[in-house]
Amino acid sequence: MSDYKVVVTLPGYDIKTADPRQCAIHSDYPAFKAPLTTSPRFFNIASYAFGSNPPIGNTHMVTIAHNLGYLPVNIAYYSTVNTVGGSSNFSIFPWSWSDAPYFTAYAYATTTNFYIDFQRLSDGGGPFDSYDLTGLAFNFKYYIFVDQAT
Amino acid sequence: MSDFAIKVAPPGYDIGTAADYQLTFTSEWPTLKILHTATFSITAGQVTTQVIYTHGLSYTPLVMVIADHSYAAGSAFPSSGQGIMVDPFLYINGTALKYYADGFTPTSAFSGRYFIFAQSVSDTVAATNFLTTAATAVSANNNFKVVVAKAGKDIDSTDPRDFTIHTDYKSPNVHMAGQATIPDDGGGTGTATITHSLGYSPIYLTMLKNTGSYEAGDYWLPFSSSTNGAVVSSNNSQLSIFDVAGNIYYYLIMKDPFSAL
Repeated sequence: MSDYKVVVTLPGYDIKTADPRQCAIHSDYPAFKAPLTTSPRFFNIASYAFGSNPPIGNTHMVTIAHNLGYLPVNIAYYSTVNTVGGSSNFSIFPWSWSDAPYFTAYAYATTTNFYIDFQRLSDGGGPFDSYDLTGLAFNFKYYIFVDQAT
Repeated sequence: MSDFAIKVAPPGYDIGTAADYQLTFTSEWPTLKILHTATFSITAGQVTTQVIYTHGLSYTPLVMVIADHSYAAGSAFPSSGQGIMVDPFLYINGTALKYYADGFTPTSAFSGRYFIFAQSVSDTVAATNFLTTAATAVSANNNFKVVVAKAGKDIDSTDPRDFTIHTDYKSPNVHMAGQATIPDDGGGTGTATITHSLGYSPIYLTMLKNTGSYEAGDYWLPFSSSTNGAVVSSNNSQLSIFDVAGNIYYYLIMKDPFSAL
């Protein structure tokens, strides 16, 4: 720990005795950071709709090239626009259709890209293999931080 | 607002008109500060409780996990909701972050990184809305920035990981925090609603207080939206939590609409 710090306390707290919880910022305790001006953007709102029935397998619904060279901290939320219990409210990933565990969506980052994927698993020739998901649509909100995960 | 305050806006934004969410930081509310972070790993076949980190704090802190997942091995999945949350569990209490198998035997090892924040699950942060209308940036003089480097790091570093705070980067700022108890709306379940009045659906995290007989009082890590039938979601005005009546949640809501400033 260095001898020099930058500490800004919240209203009413003594800077000499404040607990980190009582500080607006503290140079010993960093915050996650997402760049304000990059292309593509590291935080954004996106959407995806299936114009045809997705095949069994994985579909990239969102791909953002961050090119950081390491696995970044990220967080994402979804809302389903229609069908399968659609809601305009945003929930944290992963998404799954509670009545059909064969349909799932994940958000994650590799060392080069951030993805939001839709995964369709086979139920072994059962009814969900032929279920038509045409029209299923999502809205997304995501953040990719420059802070390193692993 | 107190008589004395610090407000810092990104380059090009007027500090007098920038909306709350456009600020880099202000002394009126806390940024989400990382007290401690480290990697962890759980070995295949681990069936007993494993202490991951003894935090030494006088309170139970908010924690977040980025973990690997079999869907795309070697990647970073946000929160612990994806694969490692449902069963087995990661818990945190007033002493330690720990893995609790709950009878589940992981067939393969999994690993990740945890972040412990300077937010107690017992503390309440009251919502504050001062300026909600977005300001328009003017031509920025990018020679002027507010930059705080981490201890031992060069202020001129080009690696953004070296900074605690930086006006060229957006950091989550806490809007409100507290605890909510699920009411009984009939049938033993209900929905707790927390009004945030932000005008947009923000970043939020929740932790469920374990009221069961095992690990009682511990908090589950931020988890997926529909774990064990619970549903957590937000809209432009409120956070909603549907679950079994009597369950207690800690929630943290940030000021961030995800859109461009």
